[in-house]
Amino acid sequence: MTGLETEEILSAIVFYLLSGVVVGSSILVITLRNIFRSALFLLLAFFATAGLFITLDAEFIAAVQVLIYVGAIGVLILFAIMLTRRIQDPVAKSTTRSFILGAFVSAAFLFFLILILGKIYLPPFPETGADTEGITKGIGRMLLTYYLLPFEVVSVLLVGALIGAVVIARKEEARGGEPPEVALERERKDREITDSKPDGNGLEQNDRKH
Amino acid sequence: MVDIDFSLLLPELILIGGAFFIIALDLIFRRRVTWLLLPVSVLIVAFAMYVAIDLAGTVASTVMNTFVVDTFSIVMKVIIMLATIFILMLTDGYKPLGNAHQGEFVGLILLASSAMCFMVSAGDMVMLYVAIEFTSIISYILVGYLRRNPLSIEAGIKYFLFGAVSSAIMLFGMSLLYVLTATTNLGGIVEGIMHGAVNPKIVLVSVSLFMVGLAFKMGAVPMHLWVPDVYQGAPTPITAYISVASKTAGVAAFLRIAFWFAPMLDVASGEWVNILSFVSMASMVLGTVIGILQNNLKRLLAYSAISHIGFIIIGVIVGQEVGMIAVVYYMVAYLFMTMGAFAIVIMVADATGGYELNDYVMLSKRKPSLALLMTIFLISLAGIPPTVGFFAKFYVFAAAIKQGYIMLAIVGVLASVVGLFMYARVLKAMYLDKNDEIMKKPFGAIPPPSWAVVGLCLLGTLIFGVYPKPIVEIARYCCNLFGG
Repeated sequence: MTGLETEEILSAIVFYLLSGVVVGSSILVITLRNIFRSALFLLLAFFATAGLFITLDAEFIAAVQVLIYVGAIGVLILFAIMLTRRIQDPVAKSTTRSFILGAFVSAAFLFFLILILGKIYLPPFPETGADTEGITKGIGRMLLTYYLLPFEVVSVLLVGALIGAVVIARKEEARGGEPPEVALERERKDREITDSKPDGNGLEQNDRKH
Repeated sequence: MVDIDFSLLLPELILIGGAFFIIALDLIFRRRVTWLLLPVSVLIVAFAMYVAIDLAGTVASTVMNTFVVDTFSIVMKVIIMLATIFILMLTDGYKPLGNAHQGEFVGLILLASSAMCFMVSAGDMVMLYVAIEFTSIISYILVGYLRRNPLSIEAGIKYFLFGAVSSAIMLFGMSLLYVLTATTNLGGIVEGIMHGAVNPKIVLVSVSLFMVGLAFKMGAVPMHLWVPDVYQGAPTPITAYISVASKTAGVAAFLRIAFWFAPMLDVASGEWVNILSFVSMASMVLGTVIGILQNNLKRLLAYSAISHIGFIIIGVIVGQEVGMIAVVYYMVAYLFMTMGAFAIVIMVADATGGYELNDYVMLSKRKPSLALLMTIFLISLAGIPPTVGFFAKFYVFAAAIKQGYIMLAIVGVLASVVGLFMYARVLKAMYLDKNDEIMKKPFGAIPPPSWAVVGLCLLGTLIFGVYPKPIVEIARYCCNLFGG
């Protein structure tokens, strides 16, 4: 057995191990009943994805994955869960009646993709500049040359999303000249009414015909 | 260095700048100038539209082919901006929104318009994806804007979940295309596939997955499930906005990519046409048949929108000059008739407080002018002369028959006939049904800007329904696609 073969076998083992962790923890994220545990497994999935990036020699993306997804987003989700009242109730069901149908459709889609893509020979990926100048430098150069416009549009997108988040999370606005105290009081009352209902969101109460 | 031709990007830049200007104006004057926001925003969009029209005739690209400008993109942008102007005018009379946070509401609408313009002009997969996500994220916020209304929140969440799934599928298709060609440029992909020995099956699979994202934006079967619920739950001006502007942007991107990719799909053309034909026929049939069962006007118009997408896709399948003219004409027609119908739905809901068919009973007695206008828009949606909707369907069917897609034309004609019944139910409620109780209820006043919108839509519906030549001439210029 030559050194090259050993290396290939090793990288295959690492790949399947990491992929197994990603798929397994992703399934746990959507099936676990406790939302806090779901969030922790989400972090694990993010982390294993970072490992996959490393096996692809994309160290920069791996670092970004850990920093942003595991570090920032994951912790943010945990904070949001801990700061939200009643969200930790274990009664929240994460599966629905159409669970079996959904599983069947997903499995069929997966089977179809394996059938089509497994048989097809993918041509070797052409050389890009990233190999010579390093991936971080390559990404930076592309972002400020070829991908300049999408890059700038993303920044506008983020501002828009920020404004939208503020609007959705806003406090009730004073209506037509009433003082802010009155508006706050009304908001508090509204919330009490909503909270006292058995299912506060009222989603089940709509009768709609499909 | 990157050469950037800012003159090509100007309409989008004006919209983005205008959005932040409106939000800043509202904040600086601490919400004391809300009456000023709508006129100013209408002026901003009108100015952006003027700049866009000024670009007509240019066929160019900038920022290394990621942004493409040609007559087709300009016509589509004008439709999107006209829709935006109509929406802004309708927002004035829309009560559930109240006075609160109008600055943000208007600002987000302008941002969404700029995102849709980017979508129309995208010449690169990454640009297209960013534009689609931009449009979607702003739309989720606008759909769920009525925080106190459970239906609105439900619609927002549903829209978001469907959008996220379709984005994931689309990204998978895009990544396959990138693996095959090592470029994200749409023109580069065609070149890479044509010159490389790539299995046509994998091209077909990746392009189909790619198109799922656009099918979601257009609301075509099988990506239509969100349409009725979102249309029903969203604030009605936003429903109209998603129905017209967002759909126009989706159709524009879809048509551009279908036209560009046509040579590379030729090897698998039979299967590609089959896939599109299925989507088209399923949309037409499902939209009209289920539409008949609806008692809520917003849901009825949602199913009507699904069926219209089916007709539009026929034009994309046909391709070439006839197909292009059919699609462009259909989009113009769709703008006027759908916007008009939604404007009246908003007026009636503001005056009576409901969206159900029951609220339209005896409208011919209570408000004869509204009933007559609604009739005109509905017969246009059904495709009866002398309205713009008739020519829209006529050009689509003529194009299909000319290129030998007889089956599509037959299904289309049958779907139009069934669709007639769907719209006739509303006419029956307005003119024939009797209910003495409802006559006693007061009918509220209607704000002048809404009348202006309805008037403009009426003019568009009738003038182009009698004299379609100007639109056809403009559509003929659209055939000169950049790089096509």
